[in-house]
Amino acid sequence: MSNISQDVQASHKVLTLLESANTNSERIIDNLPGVFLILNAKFDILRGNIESSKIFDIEYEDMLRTSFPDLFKKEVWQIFQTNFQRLEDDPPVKIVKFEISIADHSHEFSDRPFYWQLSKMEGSNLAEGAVYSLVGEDISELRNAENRLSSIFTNIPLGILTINEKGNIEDTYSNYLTCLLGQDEFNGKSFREVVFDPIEAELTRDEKQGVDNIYFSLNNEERLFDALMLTFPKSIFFCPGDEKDGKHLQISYKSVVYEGLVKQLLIILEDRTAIIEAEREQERANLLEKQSKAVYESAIRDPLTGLFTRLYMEDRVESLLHSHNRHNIQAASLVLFDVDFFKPVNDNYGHDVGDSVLKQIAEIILQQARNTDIPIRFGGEEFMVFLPGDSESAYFFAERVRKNVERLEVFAENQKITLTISGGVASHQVGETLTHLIKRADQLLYLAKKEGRNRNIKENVTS
Amino acid sequence: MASDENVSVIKDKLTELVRQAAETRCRAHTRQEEFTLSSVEEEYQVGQVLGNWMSLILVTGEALKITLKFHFSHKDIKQLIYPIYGEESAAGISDQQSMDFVKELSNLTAGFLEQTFESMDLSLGISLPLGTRGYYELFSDYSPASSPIIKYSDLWRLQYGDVSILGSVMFEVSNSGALNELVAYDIESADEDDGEFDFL
Repeated sequence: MSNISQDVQASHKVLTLLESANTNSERIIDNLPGVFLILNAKFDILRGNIESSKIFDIEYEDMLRTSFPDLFKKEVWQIFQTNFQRLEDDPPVKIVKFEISIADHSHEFSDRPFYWQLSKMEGSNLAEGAVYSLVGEDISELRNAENRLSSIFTNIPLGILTINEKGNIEDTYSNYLTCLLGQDEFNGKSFREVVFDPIEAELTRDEKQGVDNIYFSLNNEERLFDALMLTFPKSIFFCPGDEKDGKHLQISYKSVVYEGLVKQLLIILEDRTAIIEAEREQERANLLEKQSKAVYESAIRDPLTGLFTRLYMEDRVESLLHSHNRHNIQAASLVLFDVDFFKPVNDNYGHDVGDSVLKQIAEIILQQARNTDIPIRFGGEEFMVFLPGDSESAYFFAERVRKNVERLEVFAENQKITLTISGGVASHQVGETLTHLIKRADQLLYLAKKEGRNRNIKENVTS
Repeated sequence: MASDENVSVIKDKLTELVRQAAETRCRAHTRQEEFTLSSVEEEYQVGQVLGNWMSLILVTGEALKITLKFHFSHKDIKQLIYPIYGEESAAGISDQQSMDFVKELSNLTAGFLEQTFESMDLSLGISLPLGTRGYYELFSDYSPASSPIIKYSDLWRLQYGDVSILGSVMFEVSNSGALNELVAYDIESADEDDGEFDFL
């Protein structure tokens, strides 16, 4: 084979490869998303992707030389035309970007927005004139997402706004701002005028300085902002009119920095009135609860001995006896104590000594009682203790108390006072009322007194 | 160098020769004798994007370069060729088959031209046909010139029923003297061998 023949074969091979590469590139263009069109000076379509033909409802091969303006209503086309004209009127402008909504197949405006990029291609074709490329991206999903976000922003119970480097409100992002600040026209107004001037008289000197610092931070270095922000008013009571309509606003500030300088501030106002009022309400409720507890405590606790009172007895003891009635516990018993010869102590040494005696005896009872036992000051020098257990264990408890009282050393007027205590121990019978149980215990106590005191009597058991 | 008068004749003869080559090869290739070639006198002009698709072939030598393009749509070609491929409808024809068909038409036409010039002792070579999108016409240059090389173009339409294939040709003559034999050449007789060449 001659060299020439080989050269031709090589060239043919290269051409085949180029054709294949070109086919692939063209296929990529065919399958571009959205709208891709090449238009001539008369706005005839010279090339388009497959998606364009679907969007404009034309057979793909019929798109060639379709008049682009014919795809739209006159008003829509006029917007396109204006943008084509911008490229012609201002040659340095290489690309024009704009947004128009179009509709599938209807040639009308719709809520399907497209973002268009129009550019004039380099060079021109003598027969076609100027050549433009037009790319349209369907941004309806983006707009929907924006709308959803915007809906959240506008309905969020926060006031969101930005101020520019002059301190004027540039954008507002929330309808709630109107509710917060009692006005609906913000754009262009000074942030100070809208938020701080109406309550200037209420601002402290530091807060006023903080407002000045907001303005000083604008168009200044970012690192300065961080220091100044510490002084910005962050919590105000916004009350330009009637105090009952006032709002507790919490203000947060976020800088928007460009080339190291604070060019904007994003400001968020949060209405904390409800929270603060709720907190106050909670404080009041807490106080009331505390007071109620104190009242209740004083009602159920004997202030002298720290033992429960008869009032408490009603609930707890009834509950204990009820448990016994239902056989939730095997037994329940009552010990009724009475301090022997207590009246002479009071009479001879005074009530202070008497009170001290009662207090110490109560302490002994408390020391000997278990957590499940219910010790009560029944009145005067009488104590009763309800115990979940039979009369035997109750009796042992009573004996421990009695012996400890006997060992108690109480001095008054340099004299040792000897104290003893007597008790009646009764075991609760299923179905028996509290009154009846107390009555039986009282009878046993009476018997103990009668038999010489300083003893406990448990249904025929003596010590 | 040919005289001005001869140059004019050579240009006409070249134009006519390519037209005849395209028309006769098209009839043979499509098996449709009713295919006719006519000048385009409508809205189209050479240099425009004339079809979605284009088959391009080059016939070239030291004295002459002919760039021949067929501009077409697959829709038209499929409608034309599905009986040849034994299909029941145009839907049975793929884009690739359609493109191959037109590339083959380009090849046949260019081969016919090469043979014709060979008979005039003018040796030319032909490229492989290239199939691509029509909008590459945007980047082609059809500007005419008379010196140092003669450049001109031609535009015509091959029509059969509703099927239309546009052809555009760019002639670049760098040595008109080498084409003097064309002045006396009888183009009608060149067609006598119609159908005998097979360049595949």
